[in-house]
Amino acid sequence: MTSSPAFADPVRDLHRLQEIYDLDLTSEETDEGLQAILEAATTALDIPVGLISVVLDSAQYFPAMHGLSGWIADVRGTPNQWSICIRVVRSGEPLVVPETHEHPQLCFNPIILHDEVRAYAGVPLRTSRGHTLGSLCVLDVEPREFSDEDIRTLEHWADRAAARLEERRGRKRVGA
Amino acid sequence: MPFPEYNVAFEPFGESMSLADCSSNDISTQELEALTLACRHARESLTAFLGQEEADTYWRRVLERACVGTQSACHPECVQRIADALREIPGPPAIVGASLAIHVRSYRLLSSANKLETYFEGEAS
Repeated sequence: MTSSPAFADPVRDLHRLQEIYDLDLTSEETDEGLQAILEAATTALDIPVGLISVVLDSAQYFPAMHGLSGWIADVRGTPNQWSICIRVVRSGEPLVVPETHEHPQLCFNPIILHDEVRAYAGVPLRTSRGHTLGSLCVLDVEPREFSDEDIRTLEHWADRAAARLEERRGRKRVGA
Repeated sequence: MPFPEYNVAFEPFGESMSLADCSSNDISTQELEALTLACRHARESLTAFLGQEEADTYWRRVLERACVGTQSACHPECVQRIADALREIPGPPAIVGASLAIHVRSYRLLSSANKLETYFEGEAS
């Protein structure tokens, strides 16, 4: 995995952020293909909320979202202090929380406190260059167990989402 | 060098951007603290990515471009323009701008819903 020695925190890895820039991942254009991938993932798990979260230096942005409402949907993101997906970027591993109220750190997260998120499962959005750009995640308003098969399903769709995002490579230069 | 006095309020953060600098604003102390925090995140990121000297240069240019003509550098519209200006700098600074834009949008919506106190909640990033 490519990383910048100066940045111990992967969230602030310059190479990772450069790739987010190169892939134009903060563009507010709707990506129907990415949205379809997310819809497929949420349908497969029969879960009400799904997000594709790109974790930036101090905020997360949702290029695709399903079932989300309220101010977070209007913003299409949150400050990183509210982000659960940031943990996936830092670990590079799936994060599964069947009951958020029992998680020692997440139980204080405003998303949990104010938006009634009771269950979370997120898997890395990893590019061919080895950077974890964010997470494909699903959320439920009730506690929920996630099976190994559920996580494999999410990883399948996350791979598809990452491939879709990588199709944008070079778009900045072409459009310049 | 010419540098509008109200812009200096942003440099450095914390001490010189005192509440007194913005006493003429029609925004509350809590709103000002939220905007200051968002800008501090952005400037710290920029410094981490570019180094102090280059980051200061960029920040000064961004402030000059974003805040000239406004009544105060402490206003949300100005911070939005700072975000827009950062987004035009290629590479990681553009990502810093995108992050700041999300902070400003969050601020606006939480503020209008009288829930700005939640902006300060959450885990340390």
